[in-house]
Amino acid sequence: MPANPFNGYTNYDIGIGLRVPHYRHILAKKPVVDWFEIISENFMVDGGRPLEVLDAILEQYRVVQHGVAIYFGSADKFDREHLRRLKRLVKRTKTPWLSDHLCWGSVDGRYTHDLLPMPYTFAVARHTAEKIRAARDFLEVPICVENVSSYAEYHASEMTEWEFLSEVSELADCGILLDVNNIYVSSQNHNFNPYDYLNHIPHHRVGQMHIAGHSKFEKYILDTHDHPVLDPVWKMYAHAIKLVGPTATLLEWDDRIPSFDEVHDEALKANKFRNAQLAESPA
Amino acid sequence: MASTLFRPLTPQWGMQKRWTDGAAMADVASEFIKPNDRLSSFERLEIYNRQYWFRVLDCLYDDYRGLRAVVGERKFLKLARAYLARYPSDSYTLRDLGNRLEQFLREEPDWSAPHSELALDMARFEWAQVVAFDGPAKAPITHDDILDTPASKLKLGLQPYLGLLELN
Repeated sequence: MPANPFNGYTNYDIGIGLRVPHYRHILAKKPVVDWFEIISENFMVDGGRPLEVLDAILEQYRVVQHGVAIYFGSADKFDREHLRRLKRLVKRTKTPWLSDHLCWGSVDGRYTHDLLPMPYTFAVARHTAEKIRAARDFLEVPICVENVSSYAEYHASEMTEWEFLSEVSELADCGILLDVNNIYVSSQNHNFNPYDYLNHIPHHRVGQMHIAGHSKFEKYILDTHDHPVLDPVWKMYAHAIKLVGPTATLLEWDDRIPSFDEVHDEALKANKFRNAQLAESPA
Repeated sequence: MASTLFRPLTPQWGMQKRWTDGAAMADVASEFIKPNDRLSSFERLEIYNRQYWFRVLDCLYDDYRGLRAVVGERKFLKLARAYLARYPSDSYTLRDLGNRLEQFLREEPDWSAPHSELALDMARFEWAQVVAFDGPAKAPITHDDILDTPASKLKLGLQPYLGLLELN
């Protein structure tokens, strides 16, 4: 639901990612943007240009943090320095919630810098939920976990991905960052109905949504974030909005990034579906 | 699974067909990855193996333009692959990917021969740039700070993000 404990009871609308090619435009032109999403790891630094830009952005805009390397699903314990830097950034941005992925990506101190799918087992769900709770307790901010795109599945899995996401979020009592594009990509790669996924997650836990573009190859789809949002994903987004309400939505465009206006215009297309849902179910 | 991802690709940018013990990689992959109607277990795992290497090589490619110029593109690729095979990423941020490149070039100068000394200097310089870009900074001194402080108590220092390099 739009304002809920998992997004700090906020009612954010449509946001876009804060990306280097757009810095100059944003700081000079000061376009009207409801909120920006930043990649936490890009700003967990000690000084310099990244923080100079961030502080200038924070003077005018609302910012929400999205991470890519906390690895809730890794067997490794948390990197304490990572958590300390993350908390420092949380205090700087005053982000109303923080998101990262339901994945693993490091082992024995070595990092893949990828968002690796997890085996969907009850033991893994319990372990992951425990780490999410520990992170939330340390960071003192609501956490939303994002479903990832995946290209492989494990023999060891005991349930579907949406059952696993539901199990983890219930055990951790955390929010969900529902990435509609990722559901579509995974559904095509693993031959499941994406609407089964959308219909069978705890909708009250969705604190934020992602939409994005992807790339089709002969035998699989890759989550490339370098295209406009495709029609099947928009259709899924419309369905998701009916289930969870007009929740804070972020367009991800991370490669072959076009002009700020092109990215922002693409993001604002989401309004068509949000307005339609509001018209059907006025508050 | 992680060990398979860190394993260097073949010269044709594919996953190696044999595991470290000589077993067929297709058999190894099928032990934990399910195939689907289009891709084998091997092919599904290969997507991640390739993604890892493309991502980290791309990062070094961007951060070490000078080193690339010194050793040449082809040699840089071989050097980068060897470095990352020896020293895979040990940080949550790709910013730190080159944190042991100087050490590697000193340990194995053949990868940058015949310009090993210049390559080492360039790598050190380019790493110093990475550090300076987002290193800690103190508030710069203003005119008023200088005017308001007795000369005997005035202490000037360099910003902590600066580094002094002695290059050959």
